[in-house]
Order: sequence, then structure tokens, then C-alpha cells
Amino acid sequence: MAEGAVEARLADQGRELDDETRHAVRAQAAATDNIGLFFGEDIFIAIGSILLMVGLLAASGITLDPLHLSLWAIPTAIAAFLIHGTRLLLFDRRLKAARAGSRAP
Amino acid sequence: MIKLSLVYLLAGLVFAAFAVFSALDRSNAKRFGNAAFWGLVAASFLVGDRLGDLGNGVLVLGLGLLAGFGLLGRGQPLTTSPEERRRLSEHFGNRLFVPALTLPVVVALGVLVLKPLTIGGAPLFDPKQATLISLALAAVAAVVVALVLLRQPIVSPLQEGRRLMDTVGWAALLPQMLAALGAVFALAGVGELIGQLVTAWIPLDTLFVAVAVYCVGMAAFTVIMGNAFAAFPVLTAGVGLPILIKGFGGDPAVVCAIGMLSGFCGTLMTPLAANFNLVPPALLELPDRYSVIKAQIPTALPLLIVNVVLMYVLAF
Repeated sequence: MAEGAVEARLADQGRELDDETRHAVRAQAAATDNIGLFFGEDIFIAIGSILLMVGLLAASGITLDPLHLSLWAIPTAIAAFLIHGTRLLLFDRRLKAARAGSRAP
Repeated sequence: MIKLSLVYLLAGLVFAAFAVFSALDRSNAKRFGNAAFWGLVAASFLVGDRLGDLGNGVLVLGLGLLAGFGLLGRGQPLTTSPEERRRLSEHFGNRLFVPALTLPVVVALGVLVLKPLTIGGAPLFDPKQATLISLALAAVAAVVVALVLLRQPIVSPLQEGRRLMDTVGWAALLPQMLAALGAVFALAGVGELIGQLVTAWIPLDTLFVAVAVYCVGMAAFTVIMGNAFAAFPVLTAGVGLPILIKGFGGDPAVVCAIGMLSGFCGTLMTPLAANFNLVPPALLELPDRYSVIKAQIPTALPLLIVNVVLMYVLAF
């Protein structure tokens, strides 16, 4: 999807996507997928990592409600969204700048 | 009262169905390997509590041997063709998302509404396992909704489930195995040993240093082990529980939740988490196999610092 978007934007300018940029976009897309998965999934109460924490603490005599664990995952999820979102905006701006630069002779 | 044993029975029967369908699938040259693998998983769910520790250990070794010798193949479940799928997706449109969205809604209902319910004085759900029971209930509800809405044969969910499991292969059990490995490490006292090593080198009497050691330790240990599930029991037994929770009186929910997420920062940086970090570059045909890790590190490091600060502020 990301690749297609960049390609379409370039096509509007009558240009093609070079391999280096294509690979950079793909790597960013895969990274974004991982980051969204890791820091988003813990907000759901029935996911493996939450159940692991509940089980381990129960073995140590501490009873916890899964809901509390997932609530306390929200601040980090917001931080992950802000940090990675900012990086993606900068990445996009860099792509645009590189394009503008390469258009000038 | 609905207990966890019912959920185990349900999961066991699903895996048993995968095993039977695998054995009957002549398109897969290694069909008996698949059948044995999913059969063993089914057995651990259905009769695991009667096998004893040794029996279950042998079962896990059997799973490891089947996977390690490459005895698992990929079947071709009888299911829709790509053309049929395109036609169906055009017909149903966004209604296709309804079964998937049923799941979180029913889980939330189960935990918030059904959990406090009692019938004749006895709770409807085993209160300690309400989350897992709700998840199983939600899975069944989502399958029923999908069957009613999409009008596919009743065997489709099982065949599609088998297709998914065959695609993921033995790696589907990796998180459970690594969590078990971490638990074994913790039982063997690796956690205490690490706790002693750390306290011998770094004075953990200031709160901020202790928080930083736990969070950075989770990330570093995850980089070494390849998975936060394996690092969590060790570091929590060594540093989190004795020092942060019992010593400084931190809120266990905050310490554990943010500790685990610090481990995930480590997962973003390690080539050992191959399924996340090395498989995508291969699938996307990237020339640099570390390109996804390189794209992740600039997010993982600041996020680790954020986690340290968040735990310091929120847990105490």
C-alpha cells in the first residue's frame, strides 16, 4: 500500500520509483507493522503476553486483573505512536525533498 | 460454573480436527508429520493434566523433534479458490469485518458483564479465568456469526484454521515454548542469580537506577533470547519482584506491563526474533536483510527511555 502510494505520487509527476527508495519504503512498512503490533496488542486483555504476566504473578502470590495490565500498556502505546508517527512524517518529507532536489538539473 | 477445563477441551478438539484433516490430506507428502504434530498439541490440551510433568516434557520433546527434522509439510485444505474469494469479497464488502469485530466486543462483554454474574449463588465463570473463558466464548460467537453471515460450509472454519496453522507451521507454538523456557529458567534460579549479579555491580538503592536496570535489562535480555516472553520471567524474578515491587512498593500491574513493553523494544532490535525482523525483508525481497531492524532501532531506543520514565512516574 505504501509502495503504491509513493509510486502513484511519482507517476503524477511523470517519474518512476527507483529501487533504493522502493526498498526504503518497504523496510519502513514492515517496521511500522511490527511496532503497531507489539505496542498495540497489549491493550487487548486476552493476548499472550498479558496472560503470561498474570500467570507469573499468580505463581508469586500476586493476583492481578488482566484489565489493569492492559490499561497500563496504553501510555507506552501512545508514545510509540507519537515517536514512530513523527519518524514516518520526517521520512515522507525526506522522500519529497529528495524528489524535488533530483528534479532540478 | 464454567471453568478453564472447558476451554481446554474446546481447543483440544480443534487441534484434534486439524490432525485428522491433515492425516486425510493426500496433497501433503508429509501429512503424517502434520497429523502427529497437531495430534500431540491436541493431546496436551485434552489429557495434559493426566500426563504428569514427565509425560508433558516428553510430549514437548516430540513436538521439537517433529519440527526440528522438518517433518511438517503444508496441506491443501478444501476451500474457496482465489476467484471465488474475490467474488465473495465484492458481494459482502465491509460486512466481512463483522465476525472479526465480534471477537473483541464479546470479550469485553464477557469480562465486564458476564464475569460478575452468579447463577444460584455460584459464579457463571470461574472468576480467576474469566478473561480466557470470555476469549473462548468470543471465538465461538465469531465463528457462529461468520457461518450465519457468510453461508459457508460448516467445516470451513476448521479447514481455514488448518490452512493458517500449516502456513505458520511449528512457529505457532514458539511464544508458548519460550514462555515455558523462561519459567524453567526462573525455577532454576537464573532470575535470582541475575538479580545478585546486577546488585553486586550496580547499586540498586536509588529508585530511578533500579527502574532503569529492570527496563534496560528486559530489552537487553530480549535481544539475547530473541523473545520478551523468555526474558520476562527471569528479569521479573531477579529484579522486578524483589526490588521494584517488594522493595520499593511499586504497583505490580504498572511494573509488569511496562517491563514487558521494554522487552518488546528489545524484540525490535534483535535478529533472533526472525519471524518479525528477518522474514519480512526476505518476503519483501530487500537486498539488506537487516533493513527492517535498522528501520526499527531509531524508534525502539527513544521508546525504551520513555518506558523507563513512564514506569518511574506511574508505578511509584
